[in-house]
Amino acid sequence: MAGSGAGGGGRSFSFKVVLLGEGCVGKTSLVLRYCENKFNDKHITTLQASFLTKKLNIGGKRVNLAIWDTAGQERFHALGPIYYRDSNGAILVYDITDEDSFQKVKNWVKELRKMLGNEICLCIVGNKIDLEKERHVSVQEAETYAESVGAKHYHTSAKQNKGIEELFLDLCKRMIETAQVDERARGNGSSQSGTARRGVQIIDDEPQVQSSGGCCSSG
Amino acid sequence: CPSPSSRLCRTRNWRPFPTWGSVSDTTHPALPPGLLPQPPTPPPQARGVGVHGPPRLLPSAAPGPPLRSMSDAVLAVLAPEKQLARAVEGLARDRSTRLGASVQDFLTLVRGGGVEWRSSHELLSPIRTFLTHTKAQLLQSPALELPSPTLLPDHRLDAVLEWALHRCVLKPLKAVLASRLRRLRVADGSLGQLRENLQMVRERGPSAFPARAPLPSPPDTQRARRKLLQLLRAYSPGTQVTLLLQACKGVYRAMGAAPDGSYGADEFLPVLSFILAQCDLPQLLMEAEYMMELMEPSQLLGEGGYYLTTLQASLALLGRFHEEEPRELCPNFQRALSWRHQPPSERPPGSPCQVRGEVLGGESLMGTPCYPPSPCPLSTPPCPLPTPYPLPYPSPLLAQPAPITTGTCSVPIPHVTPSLPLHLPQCPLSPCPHPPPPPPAHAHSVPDLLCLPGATA
Repeated sequence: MAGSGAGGGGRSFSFKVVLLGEGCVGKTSLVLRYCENKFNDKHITTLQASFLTKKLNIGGKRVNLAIWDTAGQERFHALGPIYYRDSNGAILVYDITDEDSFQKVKNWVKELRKMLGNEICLCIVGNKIDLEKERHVSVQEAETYAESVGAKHYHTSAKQNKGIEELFLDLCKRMIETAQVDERARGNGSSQSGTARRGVQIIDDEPQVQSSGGCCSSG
Repeated sequence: CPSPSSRLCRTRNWRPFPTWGSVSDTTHPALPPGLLPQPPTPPPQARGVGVHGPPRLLPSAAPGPPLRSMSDAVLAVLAPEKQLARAVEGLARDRSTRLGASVQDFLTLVRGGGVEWRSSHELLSPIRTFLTHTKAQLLQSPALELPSPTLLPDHRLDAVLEWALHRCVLKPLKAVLASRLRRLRVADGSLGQLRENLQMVRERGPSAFPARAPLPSPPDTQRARRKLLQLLRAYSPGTQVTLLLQACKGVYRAMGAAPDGSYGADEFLPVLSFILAQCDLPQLLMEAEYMMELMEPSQLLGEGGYYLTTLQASLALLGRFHEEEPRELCPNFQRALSWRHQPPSERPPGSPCQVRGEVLGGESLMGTPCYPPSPCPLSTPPCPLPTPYPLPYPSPLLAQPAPITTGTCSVPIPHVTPSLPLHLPQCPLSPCPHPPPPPPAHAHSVPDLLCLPGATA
């Protein structure tokens, strides 16, 4: 797992969070909402939502969150490992009106657990709850599934700005916990993970069980 | 070879320190007082430094001679970063200092080769380790005290040292490392494959990477190419990442304003891949590895790390382009399509039997009827597979109207998802008799194209 970049002094953490999910589930809108469209003018590629950062202060602990968007089209699935390596957290987004996008989340969970083990904090997010009437993924099914894989489940609406703050706050708290446990396990040694985890190979995944239906590309 | 760190500790016999002039005849750096070389006192044992205390890469600080001139003094106050960098470089070039000995030995060692590398990581990680270690040593060195610590905050100090070390270590090694990386990628065939694939993508045009965003014009591509060429020439991964970010910024600018405010990775990755193919710089494959391995590790989390990762992702995509099934779209069809289908075995009865795509601006697939999802009422009995069933009409979207066949229901396939086996719809009955449903009742902001199996006139 990536080093949590826990700096000395007044405890500060740097976390990498990767956004995964099908093309049109609203990943980008979700993160844009969270960052309130306030782009970091220190970034060279400002005004874009592919890479966003947010600073938080949780109980006196400073957290620098780097949110990495990924391309959700099926075509880009095999590029996943390049993006999620060294991630502290993953936000797996599906559209509650699209059963297929939930299946896709399950595939991601399987892959992440296989590749990164239990150190990565997983959040499964049912987005678009403003379209409750068109819901195709039952709340119970989703929550039961999330629990079964050690992930937390959230309901959000990027459109109505619901549930997003809570999602990121919870995730940060869990990542802090994980980082601290990790640190203790290492006997407070320097948690310099530096180059140890570099050099990820792309894995061609087997043509596995296909998910259903279809979805428009990107969103 | 022993680890770089052990080499660092193996100090050379201390020689009387040369006069400053012998180091700086050409560069004429003015050191901050703390950095001025002094005859060390007392001389440490040849091998005992690591045991008796932290090794000092620089001669220990002692009251230095006065600055040579007023201009040096002014410079030291006004441009402390430049001063420090020049000082470190001067010392690194001088074998009689511990830093110089360590750097020069390391350069000789790397140039000499003699070790087999099976990956870019094996080749480059010792260099990153050396940079990190040397920087840490410099930061601990009491000789690094600046006249006024407030002039250089800690994080700047770190950045300045990193940059200075790039000049001392990476600049002289860049050519040799580039040729070794190239050898690796020639040997495994990935460089040649990428070159061929870039050509293939160019020939295929915009349809190779359908994107929702407008594709950049040739002048935009040229601008990006110039930045990438500069990137290839640079040796410092820090500089290279800045150039990469500038190139990416240009790409975003060329994409124009996003309908919903800003573009995410869904739009950026295809456009970048398209541009990279136009730029025709397969050397970027090695350069991305060089940057990824040698970049300051903390930078990997930031914006630079993200776009470097995106560059690698895009090159990986291009490198496997030949494995994708050929797709031909008419030129004005630039909107992405993403196809998936659930085999009937996994589909709950009554669930949509559909393949959806997406088209630009609500334009339908050349007159192909588009419908919103509708349940396929016939989920049993099993269909008599395999029965080739040609497309009911030649699709103008396919340059070669190859009969894409499947089970018993057929759909026009304007776009086939690469790298994934296409699971064509397999409707259980032949032909799927249900009539086309009425036109979309609920309008999506982005129209979905749904071609129902067998739903043709």
